[in-house]
Amino acid sequence: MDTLGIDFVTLGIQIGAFLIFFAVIAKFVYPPILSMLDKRDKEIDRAAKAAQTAQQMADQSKQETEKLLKKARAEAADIVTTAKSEASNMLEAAETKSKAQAERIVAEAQVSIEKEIIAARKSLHNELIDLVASATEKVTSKAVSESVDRKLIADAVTETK
Amino acid sequence: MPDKLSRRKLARYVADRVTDGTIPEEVLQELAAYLVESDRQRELVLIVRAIEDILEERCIVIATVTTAHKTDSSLAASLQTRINAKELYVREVVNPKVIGGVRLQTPSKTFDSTIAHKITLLQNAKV
Repeated sequence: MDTLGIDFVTLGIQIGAFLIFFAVIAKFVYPPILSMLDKRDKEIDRAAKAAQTAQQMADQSKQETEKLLKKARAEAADIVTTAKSEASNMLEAAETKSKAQAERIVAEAQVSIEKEIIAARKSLHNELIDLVASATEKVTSKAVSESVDRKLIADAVTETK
Repeated sequence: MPDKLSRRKLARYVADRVTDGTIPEEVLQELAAYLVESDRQRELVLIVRAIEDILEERCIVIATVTTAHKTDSSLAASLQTRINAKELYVREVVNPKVIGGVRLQTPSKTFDSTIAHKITLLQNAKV
């Protein structure tokens, strides 16, 4: 053993020191470090799980948001379509109403014109009668002599029953 | 006080007396006296009309003839023939306003063939 240079006493002491060191480390150092590492691992796991959960929730939320957006877009499209349709109907109704009103005005105007024409004709008729009567009176007053009157009377008596 | 005689009865009495041949003036004087005595002068026109009605029933017609110019007796003769009257008494009225033609008024009807009437008819044709 001297040839190899191994000193058993020193070796023994070193092994003993190493064992004491190992025991001290195993008792006082490794457990806290191990527990700390465990703790860190657990935290990392927990964080990972939380992140996963958060990711899932985010995905779910995104899906729901997309669903809501899709629904809102569909409703908006419906509303626009309905509004366009109603606007078109209102325009049509307004056009029809205006047309009917215009036709009514024209018809009323025609009736009014016809009434005026009838009234004008009546007035003309009456004026003509007055003129004829007046002219007849004037002319016959001068034209009916006694002899003419005798003839008129004779004719009238012939008609009498 | 005797009962008041109706107009119709008075008229009939006068008509009877006239048609019997009594002089009309006498009958009319009796009538006038009665009316004055009974204070019925206001009914004279109505009584005369009633007398004319009754006489017309008996074909004795008293007519008013209106012309624009004076006529001769031939008109009365033609009228008597045309209205089939046994006797015709004519009241002649000359009114230039009728212009021409003749208007014959009897108690029951009027025949107007004057020019003035025709002009009036024309004017009545107004609408």
